[in-house]
Amino acid sequence: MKKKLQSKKRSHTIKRKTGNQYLRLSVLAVVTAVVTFCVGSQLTKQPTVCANSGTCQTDLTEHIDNNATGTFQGTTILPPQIDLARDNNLPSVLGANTPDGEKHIYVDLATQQLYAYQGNTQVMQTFIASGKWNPTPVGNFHIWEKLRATRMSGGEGADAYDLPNVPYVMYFFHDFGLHGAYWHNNFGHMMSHGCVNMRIVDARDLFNWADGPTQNNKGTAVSVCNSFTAPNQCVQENPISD
Amino acid sequence: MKFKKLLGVDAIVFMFFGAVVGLLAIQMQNQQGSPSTIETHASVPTPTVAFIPTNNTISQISSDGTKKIILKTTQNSDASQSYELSTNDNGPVIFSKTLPAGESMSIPFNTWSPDNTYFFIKEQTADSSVFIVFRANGEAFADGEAYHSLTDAFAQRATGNIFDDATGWADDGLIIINTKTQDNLQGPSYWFSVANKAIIPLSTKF
Repeated sequence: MKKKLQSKKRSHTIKRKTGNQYLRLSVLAVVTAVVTFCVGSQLTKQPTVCANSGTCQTDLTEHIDNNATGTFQGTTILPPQIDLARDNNLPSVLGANTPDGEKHIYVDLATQQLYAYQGNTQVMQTFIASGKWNPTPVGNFHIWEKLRATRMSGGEGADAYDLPNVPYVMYFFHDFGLHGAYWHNNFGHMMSHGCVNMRIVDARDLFNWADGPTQNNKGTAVSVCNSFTAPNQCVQENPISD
Repeated sequence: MKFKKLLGVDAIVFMFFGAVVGLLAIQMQNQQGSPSTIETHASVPTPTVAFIPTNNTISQISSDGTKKIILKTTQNSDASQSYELSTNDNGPVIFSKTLPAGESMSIPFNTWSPDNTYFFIKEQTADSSVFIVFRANGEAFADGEAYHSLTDAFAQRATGNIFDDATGWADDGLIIINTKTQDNLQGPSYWFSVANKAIIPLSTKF
């Protein structure tokens, strides 16, 4: 009888011990899961995407330097002179006679064209040059910064470039932006490091028409499409958004 | 002692389970950042060429908007077309030519060099395209020629590839040429150097 009682007591002790152990093991499992998640998230974190590896972290501000020279594909480039005082005398022509409506810019990567809409009215259609050396990100964004001009640099070796006075910059995703390009004239074909290059006149008109962000509103919407036929027919593969 | 007990088989199983849960959470987080495919659509970018209707005038401004090239077309009675090229509204004629029926002359969208020193035009014959380059000021090149034919320069280079298109300017003096292979596949790209009429092979296909 005594033996039976001792055996019962031992069995009860083992059961209680096992319960504690499993509680501790559960805590251990949760801690392991949290640690794995935190460490793994850091390890698999995507690096910041940059169109201009040389300046995307350091120079996303307005930067006008009329005395500098640029380089592109191994040749020296003379950037256009920028006179801010003269800009004030230029009228904004795009959409001037168009009824008010939401502004939206569409970039069609397939045909290398850009469309600007004000409400249902198309106010611009022109050729652009998108990413050749880095892809232009597909997705739906808003202009987060407008700069009259800035400096962009990046690339390596023969593809290294350093371009001061890049005019009419409209950043829409990190340092990917719409802007004028004075160093080439090959629109309708991929020719950039990820940005959307435009003729200077087209970039100027778009810049004067598009809105940057305000305290209460986002900037003009920008949709980059794999292909585009109409405002509600922007085909996007794996789109990202701001 | 307690810690030693925890590192038994059970502990390893629970830690493994925890790690799996953590990895699944990471995967779920990453999937949230990359939305699924909506639709795939592929097509080939097409350069703009403004083909000329009869009895018409077309023009193309430079990238900075300060220059303009004007092409006037006159329809002749024998179905041929006469073309006159100038760089100002009332400026002198830089180049003129009459083409037989079925052939045409046009101004590409990317006609102007980035520094507005040169421009090129396209002649479309029945079976080929001819591209010729001019100095914007209307003067002859250093070798005395009124224009440079990049199509001829490419043919003389005998690359083994077929001339396909001249798309635009890589910089102030280099025009990008795309080619096709004899098998009609995309061939290598070249630069045409306007200053010395050189054809320069590229490692990048444009």
